Amino acid sequence: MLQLATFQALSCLLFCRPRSQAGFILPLALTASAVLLLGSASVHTLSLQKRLRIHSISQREQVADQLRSAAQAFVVATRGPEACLLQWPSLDWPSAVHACNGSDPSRLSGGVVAEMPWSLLDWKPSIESGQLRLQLADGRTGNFRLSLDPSAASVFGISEVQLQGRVPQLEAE
Amino acid sequence: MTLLEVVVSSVVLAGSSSAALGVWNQAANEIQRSSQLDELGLQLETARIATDRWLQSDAASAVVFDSTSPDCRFNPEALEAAVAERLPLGSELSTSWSADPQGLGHWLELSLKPQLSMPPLKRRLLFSPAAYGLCKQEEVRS
Repeated sequence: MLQLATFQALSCLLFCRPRSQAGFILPLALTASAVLLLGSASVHTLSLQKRLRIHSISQREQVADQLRSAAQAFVVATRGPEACLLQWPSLDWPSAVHACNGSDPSRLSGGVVAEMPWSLLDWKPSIESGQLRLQLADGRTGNFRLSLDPSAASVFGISEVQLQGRVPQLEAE
Repeated sequence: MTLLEVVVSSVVLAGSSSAALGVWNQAANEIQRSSQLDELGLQLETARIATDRWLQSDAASAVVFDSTSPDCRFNPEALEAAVAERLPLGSELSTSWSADPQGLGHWLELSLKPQLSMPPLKRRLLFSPAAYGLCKQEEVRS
């Protein structure tokens, strides 16, 4: 009988409580846990976002480097008889070849740099500069302003690349 | 409030605190690593811009252009030495120059020295003297 009474007393100590003393510790602990876990999830998301941003910047710089290298290759191709073609927009080159002896517009229309094919989209000359648009094989394009030496019909500077979004592939057109 | 409630609450709070602390620690490491990568990427970009700007200068044309070559090219040894001397890079970065197999110019490779905690970070660009007005046209056909 004594043991039963002791057990009942202990049980009551553990589990019995008046209605007025309804527990607040457990809801408080659950709320605090939820806040902690949500907070850590937010911080983790922020760190992943930063990582993704750096990855995206790195990819963008790789593309910009490929376009810059393609622009340098374009300028190399304009040495020789093809330099004369720089005076005309690329759309007029088929007819301008008669005025530029020995020039071959196809030499300026594309090439391969570090295993990445590039193609000329557009060339628009003005007084002492020209607007160059190049496209990589993956569809990414970039704009450059080329400084021209009018007395020698040659390039003496390439501006910083302006990246553009992907445009449909020329082959697909 | 019962003892059981206190015990259960303590276990829940301890478990969630431990999990949250682990995630916070991991996130803090990731943010620190990303910041380092960001800074190294900026150093690579600064080195690229500095090389480009220096090649545009008059001083560069006198030093790195190989005037003895008939096909207009950089003097690779002079180019490498001049860039290394004038554009000091951070100790984490390394540069190397190599000739383009098609003869278009020279490739500059800027890279991060191997580190266990960092992924490979590399920039590769073609530089040609023609793009800096160093190759004079002999004649203009028009």
